[in-house]
Amino acid sequence: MNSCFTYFKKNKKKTSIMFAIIILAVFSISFIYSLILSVYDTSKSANVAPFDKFSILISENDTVFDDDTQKIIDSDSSVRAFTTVTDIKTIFGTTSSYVIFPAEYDDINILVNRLGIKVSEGRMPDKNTDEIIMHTNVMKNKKKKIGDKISDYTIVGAFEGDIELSLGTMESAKLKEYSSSVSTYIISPSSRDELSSINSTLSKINDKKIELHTYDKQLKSLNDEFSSIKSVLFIIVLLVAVCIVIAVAALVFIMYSGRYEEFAIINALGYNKSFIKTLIFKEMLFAASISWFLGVTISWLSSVLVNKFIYSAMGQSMKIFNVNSLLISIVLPVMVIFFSVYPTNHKLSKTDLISIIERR
Amino acid sequence: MNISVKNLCLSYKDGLKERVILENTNVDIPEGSCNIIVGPSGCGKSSFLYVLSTLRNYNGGKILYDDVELNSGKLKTQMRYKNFGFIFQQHYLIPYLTVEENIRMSQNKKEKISKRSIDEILEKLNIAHLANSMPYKLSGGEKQRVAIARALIKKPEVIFADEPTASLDKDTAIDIYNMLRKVNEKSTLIMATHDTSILIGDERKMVFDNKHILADM
Repeated sequence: MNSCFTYFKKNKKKTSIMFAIIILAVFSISFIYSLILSVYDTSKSANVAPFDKFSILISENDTVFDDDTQKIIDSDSSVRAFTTVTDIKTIFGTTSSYVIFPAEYDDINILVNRLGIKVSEGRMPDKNTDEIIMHTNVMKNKKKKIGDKISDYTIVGAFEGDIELSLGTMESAKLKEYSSSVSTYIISPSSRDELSSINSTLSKINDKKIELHTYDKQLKSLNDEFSSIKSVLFIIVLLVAVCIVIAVAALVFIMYSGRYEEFAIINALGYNKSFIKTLIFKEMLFAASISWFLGVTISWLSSVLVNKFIYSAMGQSMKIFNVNSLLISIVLPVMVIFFSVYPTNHKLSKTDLISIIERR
Repeated sequence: MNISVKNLCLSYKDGLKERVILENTNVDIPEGSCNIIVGPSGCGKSSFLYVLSTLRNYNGGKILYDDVELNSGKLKTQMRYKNFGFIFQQHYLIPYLTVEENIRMSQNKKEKISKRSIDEILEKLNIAHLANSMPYKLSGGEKQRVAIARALIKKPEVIFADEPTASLDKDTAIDIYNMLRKVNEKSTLIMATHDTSILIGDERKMVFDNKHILADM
């Protein structure tokens, strides 16, 4: 008896149309999902990842905390006062990269050590100057090089690593002006465990004018921003999947309708309907799995190319292998199998195959 | 295999009416015999063949295969698969498979039909040169020979043939019938036909008309 590959092997034209539709749909879903998730990844690298090594405490009280807050801050030597933290927007609207300007010049070295930053090109900023060092990805993203100016600041050095941010010094008068409006504290202990312990202490501060930014809070905020994008994306994926599934299911239904004489003779030769239904299921499982695999592979290759030739040059992050895009792309073959096999087998159950041979 | 038909009744729903095809039909078909069912169009000869071959259910009476009645669909499909061979008026070859692959359709994964036995049967049917041909390249007679090869490849105990020569010209029809008789002489042959001119003369003829077997000779 024929295997589940025989029909596809022998009917290359019909097979290629069906395979092409599924491959294209899987590729589109998987690739678009990867692209959109790359925006999320870039945002995460810029906005959330740095908070793995420090937290930020922002006060609108002109550095004047109430007694209880001051006690909490004073109780921990890791809480240091750095001002000011500003940010530079990257090319995507929702992603931004932090620039930290410590109030005391010596603090910049402490921070560099704590964050494990090693300047790979150029030098550290000088005291009382408008100079910054930047992560190479941020530099690429802003299309800048050492010696260029960004806003009023001259880029004097570049570094690589996990933490995508910039560190700088300000001319003293400007620094004083910034420091008077908002006070920002960088909490950067030497170990991650210590950071979570300090975070839990600081979270007890009950002052609406004081904001604590931790890794979890930043991640939650990012996820909240992206939740609507993800929902819209899921709806789009679902709509695309439904449209493709209708097209493929109709094609499969017509394809199998043309094979009823084959099924009738198989049935007459002593194979029951369950055998034929299983054969149909196996055929569709094979077709959907192979198409899905090819679609995902093409999407993966496209991601590699986009990352290499477009994203890297822009300093943009892109996860080549993304579990979410892989999982969402599985929706399509599963729906194709279900909505193709169910109506085909349902019709087969209702059809008297022997009457096809009898010609009654 | 001996087949024994006892008080067989067969009727179809024809709209709201019940159309009786066979009434209290009794017949014994001994192993290895050649049985021809003849009669005018619509007399029920094909229906009788389909009931005998388990392709159709009957309404009353019994059909015993070596004294065993097949009560379930599973037993019937098993019987068809293991012991019966089928040839129909149309060849019903699968258009995208070669001649050899069409013949292999009767095999399952466990019992592989050897290339040698396929070559042998194609040789006997004078179509050995067509083993790798596609059905659309074959003439009507050649297609029917492939259908015979497909039916006989597993050496079935009983061969059911429903008007196997109806769509062929006279010479080809005689040729096909002779091959059918010659290739598997040990099998029981039960064939429905309206064309008695192809018969050799040593066959048992069952003449059907008006819901009964009118003559058994």
